[in-house]
Amino acid sequence: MSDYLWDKSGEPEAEVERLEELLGSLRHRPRMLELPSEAVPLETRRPRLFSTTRLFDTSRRLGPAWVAVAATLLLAFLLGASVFLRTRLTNGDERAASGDARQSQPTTTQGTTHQTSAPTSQEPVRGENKTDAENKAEAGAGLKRDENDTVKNVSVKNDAVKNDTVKNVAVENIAVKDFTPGRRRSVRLASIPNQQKLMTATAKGARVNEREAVEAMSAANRGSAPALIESTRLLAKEQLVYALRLTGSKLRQVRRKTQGSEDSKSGLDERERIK
Amino acid sequence: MFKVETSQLLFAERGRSEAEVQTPEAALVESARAGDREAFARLHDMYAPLVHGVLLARVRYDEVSDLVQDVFLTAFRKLGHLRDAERFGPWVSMIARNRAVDFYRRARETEELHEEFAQGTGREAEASEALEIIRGLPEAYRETLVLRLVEGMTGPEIAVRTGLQPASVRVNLHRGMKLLRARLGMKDGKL
Repeated sequence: MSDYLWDKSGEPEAEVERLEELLGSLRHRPRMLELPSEAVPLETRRPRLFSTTRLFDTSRRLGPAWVAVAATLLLAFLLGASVFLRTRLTNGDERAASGDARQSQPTTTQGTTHQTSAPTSQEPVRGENKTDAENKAEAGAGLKRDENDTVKNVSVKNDAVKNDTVKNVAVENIAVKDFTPGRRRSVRLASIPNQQKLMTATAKGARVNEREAVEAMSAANRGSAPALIESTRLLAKEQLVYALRLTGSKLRQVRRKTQGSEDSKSGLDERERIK
Repeated sequence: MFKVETSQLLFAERGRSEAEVQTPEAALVESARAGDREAFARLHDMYAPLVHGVLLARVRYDEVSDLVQDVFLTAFRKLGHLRDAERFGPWVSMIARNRAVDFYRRARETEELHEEFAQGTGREAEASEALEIIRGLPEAYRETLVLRLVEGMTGPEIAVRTGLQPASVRVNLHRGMKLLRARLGMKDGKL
């Protein structure tokens, strides 16, 4: 092995020297590198997903992608907060409703006992109404006593009338909360049989103004808003069921009549044929 | 205590060796990455013969000069792709090889010019003829031979610049030279 071909050491080889001399004319001639002024070394390394330098780079952070991400996060947070608040509110209402229902149970039982014992049972109710009316009147921006008295009298009379109406309709154990005007007014019926009684009474023609009845019920007992909403729903449902039943029975009657006439007609035809 | 001292010594030794290992080329690459054009110009001066030789093993002589410029421009733009600054030579060699392939894809119609160049002056014609024979050798030999005979590099230099193993370069040189001798003897009989 010649060392000259490898590292130019030792005795030079004639063939290699000649080739070097011949091909040396084609050797690289130094020339100035001409880089365009706009040429810039690009930093095109593979982007890392969780690179800290990338994360804290302000130029990237202020880019449109970052703005979009921030807006999305903000939107998601707002949505989440609204959902959380709603659920919390509804849960609070349910809790309040359950709590009110528990509280209202003993009062309803009291109500039954009172109503079974007829006229005496109305006195405490009226008394409550009175105080309520008084409170309302007093809270109504400091009216004079005369006016308060008249209000009292009027409210007492109204309550008496309402309670009488309720009695006529034979509604028992009705817990109602009367709200200030503008708020929801709802009714909670303690039991479905009572509602049915109310419905039957209404159907029979004892025209009870529902609103008045509700107000009367509010005078009788007080319940919480969600429970009353629920009872109102039940009442509406019962009304619907009753209306459907009524319509069904009417239809049945009509059908019977029409079938009867047809039967009678067909019977006549058959008789005529037989004849 | 002894362990700590030993590890500290090892650590210090490693740090020193790492600092020593970084070649001036690597430092120039880092500077060039930061946008230092002077550093890249120095890299160009150092590696232009290598790129020239790599291209000359594949492309005609009169085209090589412009292609060298192209290769270094591409290298400057893509310097961020280079992971190991120590391996600038192998990296730029690969760019040159790819550029040569790309050149033949685009410009096949210039073959006639090559023939005209071959019919130039006697010395140039002889040189280009010898180069043509080298180009006819297997790829592993022709690049090494051009770098040795045309660019005047030694075997160890070729190994360092191209990133090949010195043993491989040595083998390529000797086998390539043997083939070249045979082909030149068959063709001319003078060499």
